[in-house]
Amino acid sequence: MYWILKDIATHLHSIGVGKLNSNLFIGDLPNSPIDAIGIYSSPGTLEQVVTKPAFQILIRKKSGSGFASAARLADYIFHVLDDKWDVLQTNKGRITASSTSGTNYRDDAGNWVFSLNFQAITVVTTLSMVTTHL
Amino acid sequence: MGKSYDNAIIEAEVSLAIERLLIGPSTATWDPSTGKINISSPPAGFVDLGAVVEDSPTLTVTREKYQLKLGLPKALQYEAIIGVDGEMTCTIYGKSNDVAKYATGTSIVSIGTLGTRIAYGKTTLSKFALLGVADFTDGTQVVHYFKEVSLKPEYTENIRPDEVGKLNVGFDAYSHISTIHGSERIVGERIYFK
Repeated sequence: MYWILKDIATHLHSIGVGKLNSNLFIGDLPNSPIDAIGIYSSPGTLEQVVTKPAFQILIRKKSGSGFASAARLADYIFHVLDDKWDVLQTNKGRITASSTSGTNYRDDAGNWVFSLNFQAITVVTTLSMVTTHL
Repeated sequence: MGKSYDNAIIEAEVSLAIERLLIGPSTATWDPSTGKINISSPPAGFVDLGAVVEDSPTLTVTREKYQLKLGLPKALQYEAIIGVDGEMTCTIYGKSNDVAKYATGTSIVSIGTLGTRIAYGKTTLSKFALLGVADFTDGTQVVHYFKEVSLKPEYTENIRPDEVGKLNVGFDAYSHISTIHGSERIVGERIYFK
């Protein structure tokens, strides 16, 4: 599962959406910086041969004027990940968005947080399963 | 000793793909020895029909087999292929006449800057060359190549308020003698690029 989060983080970093471990985090959204992106795992499904791992991206922007930039960034991330075949590198596959961008809430500090949910379709057999723990 | 219940899939055989259709006049040819097909730069004479409805491309090849059974009880004694058919059907995302002209087999008539018009139900049978190209995520490519196809007689089109426009295309394959495949009569080829 971790491999897909890492692939997504690496891709977003490479296209300049965020800087890994500075404002782009895997499994974390620390209090600082406020403007940050977190990538989390979600429950996926396992079918015969085909594996469908899922993940969620949280986009946080400061309270007040941050809504518009958070919404725009959510739209952009949706655009660069939905129906993409060449993003996943560890195990090749296709990413599809589970819904359009738009879901949002405000955290305890009043910052805007947009969430995006995706599912990937990959082929992970026992032979190709990534066993590294790094 | 390997056991049959160790039902491991050969990794190289497992990957994901979507098949796209390239179409050209029946005079257009493609030489498999030129290597993999680049969808964004199709072989000369072919055009990309555009995005396909993902589960829709279906290729069916049917061989009609004659079986002679003799004796008591009757038992199979002789077999021969006495007919062969090939067909390819697909649903394309699209609404313009640029795609519909291939689905209906007619030529586009321009009405200037306003648009275009095509005919339904013409008696002319149009022939095309057809390539089905599927790029797999592991870098391999499968090409279904029909040197000559004609349109299926029926054409259906449904425009619905809650769906993207879709056009159904279906082709019957003509046969030809293939010197590559033992000078036998074939209807198409499947090419696999590693």
